[in-house]
Amino acid sequence: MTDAALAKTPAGPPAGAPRFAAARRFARSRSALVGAAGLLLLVLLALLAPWAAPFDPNEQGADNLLGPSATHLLGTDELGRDIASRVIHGTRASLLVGFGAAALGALVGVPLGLVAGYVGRWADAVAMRLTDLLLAVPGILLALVIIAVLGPGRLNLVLAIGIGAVPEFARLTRAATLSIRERDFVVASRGMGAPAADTMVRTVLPNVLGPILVQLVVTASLAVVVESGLSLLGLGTPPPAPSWGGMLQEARSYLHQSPWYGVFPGLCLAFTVFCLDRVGRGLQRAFGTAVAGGAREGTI
Amino acid sequence: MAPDTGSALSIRDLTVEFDTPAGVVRAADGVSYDVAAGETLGVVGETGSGKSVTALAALGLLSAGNVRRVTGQALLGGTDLLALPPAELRAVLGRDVAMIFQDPGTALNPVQRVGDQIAEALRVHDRALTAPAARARTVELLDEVGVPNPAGRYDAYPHQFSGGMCQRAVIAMAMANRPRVLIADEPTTALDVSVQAQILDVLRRAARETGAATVLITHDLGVVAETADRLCVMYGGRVVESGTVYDVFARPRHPYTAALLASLPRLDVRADRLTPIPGRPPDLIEAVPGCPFAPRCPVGHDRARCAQERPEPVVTGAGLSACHYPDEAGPPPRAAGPGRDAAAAAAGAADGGAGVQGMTPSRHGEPEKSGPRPDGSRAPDPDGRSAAGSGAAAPRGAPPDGGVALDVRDARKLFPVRTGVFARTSGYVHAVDGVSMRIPAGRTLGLVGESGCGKSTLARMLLRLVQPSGGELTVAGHDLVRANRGELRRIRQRVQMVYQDPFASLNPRLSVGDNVAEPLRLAGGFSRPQRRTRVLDLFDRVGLRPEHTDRYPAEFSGGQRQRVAIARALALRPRLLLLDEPVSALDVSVQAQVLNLLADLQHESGMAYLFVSHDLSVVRQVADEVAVMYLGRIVEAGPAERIYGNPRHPYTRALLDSVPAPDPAGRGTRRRAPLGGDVPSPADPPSGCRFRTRCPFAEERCAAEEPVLRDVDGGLTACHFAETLRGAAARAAGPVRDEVHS
Amino acid sequence: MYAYVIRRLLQFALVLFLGSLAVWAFVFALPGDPATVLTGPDAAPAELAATRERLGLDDSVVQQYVTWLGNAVTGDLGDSYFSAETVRSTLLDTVPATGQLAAFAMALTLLIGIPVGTVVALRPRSWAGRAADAYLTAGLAIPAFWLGLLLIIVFAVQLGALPAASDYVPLFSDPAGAVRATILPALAVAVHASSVLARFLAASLHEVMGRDYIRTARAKGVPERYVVRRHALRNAALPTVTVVGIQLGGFLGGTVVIEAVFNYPGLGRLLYTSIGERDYAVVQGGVLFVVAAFLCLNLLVDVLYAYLDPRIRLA
Repeated sequence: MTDAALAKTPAGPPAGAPRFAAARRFARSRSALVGAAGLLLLVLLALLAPWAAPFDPNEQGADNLLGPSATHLLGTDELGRDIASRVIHGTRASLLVGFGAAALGALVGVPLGLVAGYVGRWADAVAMRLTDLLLAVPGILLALVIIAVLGPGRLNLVLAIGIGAVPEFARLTRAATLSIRERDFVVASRGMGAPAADTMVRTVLPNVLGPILVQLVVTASLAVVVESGLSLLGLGTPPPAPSWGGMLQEARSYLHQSPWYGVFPGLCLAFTVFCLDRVGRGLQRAFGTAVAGGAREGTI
Repeated sequence: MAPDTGSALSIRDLTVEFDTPAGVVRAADGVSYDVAAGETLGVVGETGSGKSVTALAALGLLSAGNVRRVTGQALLGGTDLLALPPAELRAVLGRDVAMIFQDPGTALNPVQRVGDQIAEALRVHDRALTAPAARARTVELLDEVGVPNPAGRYDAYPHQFSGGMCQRAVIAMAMANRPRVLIADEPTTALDVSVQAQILDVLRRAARETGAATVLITHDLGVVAETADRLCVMYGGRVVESGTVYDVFARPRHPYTAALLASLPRLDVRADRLTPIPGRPPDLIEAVPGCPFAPRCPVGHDRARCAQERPEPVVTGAGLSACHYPDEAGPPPRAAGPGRDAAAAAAGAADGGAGVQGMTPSRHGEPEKSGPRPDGSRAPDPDGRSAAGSGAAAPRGAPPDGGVALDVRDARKLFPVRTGVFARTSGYVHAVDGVSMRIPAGRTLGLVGESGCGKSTLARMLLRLVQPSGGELTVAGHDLVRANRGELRRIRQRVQMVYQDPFASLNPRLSVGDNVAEPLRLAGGFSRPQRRTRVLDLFDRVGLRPEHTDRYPAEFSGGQRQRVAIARALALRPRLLLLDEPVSALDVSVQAQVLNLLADLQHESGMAYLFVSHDLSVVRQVADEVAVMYLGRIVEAGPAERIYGNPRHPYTRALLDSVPAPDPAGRGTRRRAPLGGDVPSPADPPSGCRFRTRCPFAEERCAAEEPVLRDVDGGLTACHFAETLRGAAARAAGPVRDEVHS
Repeated sequence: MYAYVIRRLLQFALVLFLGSLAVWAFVFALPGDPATVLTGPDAAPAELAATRERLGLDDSVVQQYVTWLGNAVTGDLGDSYFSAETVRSTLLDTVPATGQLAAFAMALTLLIGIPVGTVVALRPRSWAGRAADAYLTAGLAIPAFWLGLLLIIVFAVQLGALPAASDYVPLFSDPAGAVRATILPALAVAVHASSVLARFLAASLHEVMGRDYIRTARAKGVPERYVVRRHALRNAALPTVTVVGIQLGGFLGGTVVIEAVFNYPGLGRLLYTSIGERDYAVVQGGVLFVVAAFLCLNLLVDVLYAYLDPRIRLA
């Protein structure tokens, strides 16, 4: 370390555990906090939807395709359902599928990448060709085909989108594992006689969690969009359960009569992605990890 | 030349501050120095002393986004560089003042041809220069800095150059426009010692030919003593002392300079005990009103004035010292006399009161030590392979509990070289090629060699972190090669390793206490409270505070982390400690603390050490026996006195000659025969003697016949001429060979 | 470099083989075998048997795959279950449309993404940098299909300036018409894609600007604009090439929703409708095409990368 490195690393020893240090760095970024607050709001809306929404989302109580008014803040849809209530309830589908798929991707991808990166050789070759294969199919198309096989339904949605997320997690974890597997503290763990599984779980994994967490957020935002895209195609969240994509699908038929119909569900979608992006970027800076996400952030 | 200063470059009251999350860091604090044309100024300091930041700030090259302010002046022939608009400054850079950087591997653009990068330096300052003319001039420059086949190498990319060659290219780039000032920022730190000697030569020549003023920034007092005319010592962002090299080394006027010189391990004599500087470097965040060195200073640490009043530089003798009591600074260590003992005692006391003592009574050269083993197995193998050995098999050399901690016979490690489409093995790198050694309990074997010689591979083989390709490895009485999984785990508990970089060797996600407890957890059989007790005991033994067990590695300095790593290695009371460059990442003052700790621990426990290092001076201080490796083989081994006092292998000699002595006295007459060229690729080692391509004495026989490692004058040497190359006479007679063109 | 390229080629072949296997096997994972799907649930056993016979479903599994693969290699992807056409001709009808949309979208992505990314990295505090950053933040957050919907509302419904549903107008027969028909879906895709590209380029450029060789270039007096052009951009562009390749691959097979929103007669819409109609022969052929195209593109990009990076080229 030269003293020019001062410019990059804090000179004084940071206090406390590294995870708290990361949390503090995260909290120092205003943009990350804005994202976190927005995300918290969305989660609360999803949890408290029945209380937060003014109407039952499936109640066909009013006239069709009303414009925004005091009673129906965002108007009503073609069946006279309150759009605001449907948007609020739609948060559930988006977040559930988004985080569910990301979690599934991580659950499968992280161990795969860990073993591929740490054990290497044939395990690595097999894992990498598998991910090559999965990566060769665009995420939305893969999800479409899987839904075709499994049939619609929320769980199947999670599966369909989650499988597409596996390779990103596997590659990321593998790369991170490779970058530290010959670092002295990992070698030291082997040198102390630790079995490979012990080294992987206790020494390697905690030190690659940062980028994985970032990827989790990035994947969730991607999955939210894919879920909406699938719903827009009529293959996502099955009606009549409200979902943003489903509402956009319906809105397409009434572009002339009520152009505002599709605006708010889309805005919510964009807001969700925006919040997740801010949080992801904040985490990325907090952990000092390289660019996450990459090019597969979706074309749909 | 500026009439107002008479200097080529004057730094005036330069202050640099950074914003960091922990607060404002004042990395340079009112730094002033001058350097005149044709003169070399050495700027010396440890990590964080501000020596590089000052130079970078003066040239406007600090690119970090968190620079808070840069004030002061950097006068280049009367022009203040800091006051110039960016475009004008850029026109001066590279033309009037040029810079050479620390890491040659990253200083060049990887996707541009080396020659083009040098030619660019010419063409940006001379628009009229045509491309062919720039190319011709670049080839001349490459030739001047000693790049072989310069016309052909022009079109090479940086990754096709060795580190030394890259640094030559950077120097060529710097001298391209005959600048008035050359600033070299740790130009040889990333290089091997033999290459360092070459590069320092090139730098000297460049300065002479261009008549430039040179600022040589380094942490290495030896380099300064060898090359500088004047010297400027920095500490905590300030200049604490300056003067001519001869004056400062002979009579330091600042206690920090004196302490730094005293803490230096020396090549020529073995100190009974090093005298470290206690404590740790200052935290630049808290602005101290007084002297930044006061807390560690033997002169001022309990004087109120030192803590409260900032010492301004005062003229003392021929130089300047920023100390309130410049006359009380201790004389340098080599000046025999009471002063040195006092300094040693003071530092020793501050370090925890351990007495000054030798390590083992029998470390002086004993010729009979390298005789045959009692069981006769130490003779060269029948098939003519070397049975190198170092380890002193003489029974009386072993401590009371006896036993051999490590016995290696004919160890080999071949790494396959894979090429082609199917990654077929097309050859092997002989990383370790027939090495034998022994270490009795309680003794230290120093293993020295340049990077790539196989010394770290060998150390890792002893834990089977690298699978041996052949040979017999007996560690603490266990057969390492044939050990099954369970046995291997038990062996790994008896042998522990301390790694080079304390910033990388501790798991950052575990508290330091948990790090130390890892071996106990993995060994099993220790309850949580038992582990806790053991950890506290270990912390105490390595001089760490027990209340710090719950902190994380990131909160500790390098020296403290290395103590943690040592505590971890001691947890299971190993019989053999593998020390892989344990102090090379540490600053000199801290290095001495860790070396003393290791000596104390060995004395207490009777552990055997394998001390792997590239630093010959450090090995001199710690090793009973020394083995010198070159391209996977031991070329010379024996008691330390024999290796350092009477080296018989030309490589050992060249290495010893390459180490710059931290003493300018007599440097003009010192004979140096630096090695030419780079280490050949271990994938394709030269036939016969592997050293012959760089050896000044090589003859035809050396290419045809591999020299056997054999008894020569109380040690083992693998050279055909070991018997005839005697002492200083042979050394002086050695022809000075320059670059090996290959 | 040759060894590298050949090794990549072998990997490519292996993955393509695995891909074909997966695509072929997908039909068997569906509920009911193809014959049942084709003949309908109420078909007579004889009809079912005849269909099985025709589709070769009674052969051994290996035999079926070999036959299928052999046909696929020669371009014969079988017949559509429902229309009278072959899968091949169905695909050939849509691929040019998707290709043109992808080309338009990629052109826009590069046109927007490169300057935006460069400005964000080099002048983050200027007004242009802030505007570029705002653009990419919004571009990343707004899903392409929603932007498409908004574009339709504004330009087609409200202004009536452009068609809401895009037909495929070949560029070479009617350039102006092609632009009119393709600009909205291409823009919808490109806003998001250019934001992704810009952020990647910005991060890459930012990292490169901190490298030692940039400092070396400055220290030898190279004016800043040349430091950026000669030293930084070249190095930052290298990893970006990979991203562009992946994006282009995505455009070829992944614009399903956009094509559905704009009712654009491309490959994506074909696959979507085929899944809806359970015309799995078409789905199979289409996905195989997408996989092959994506892998080919990746291979090209890797070779290009190896050529551009002397560290690989000269290895």
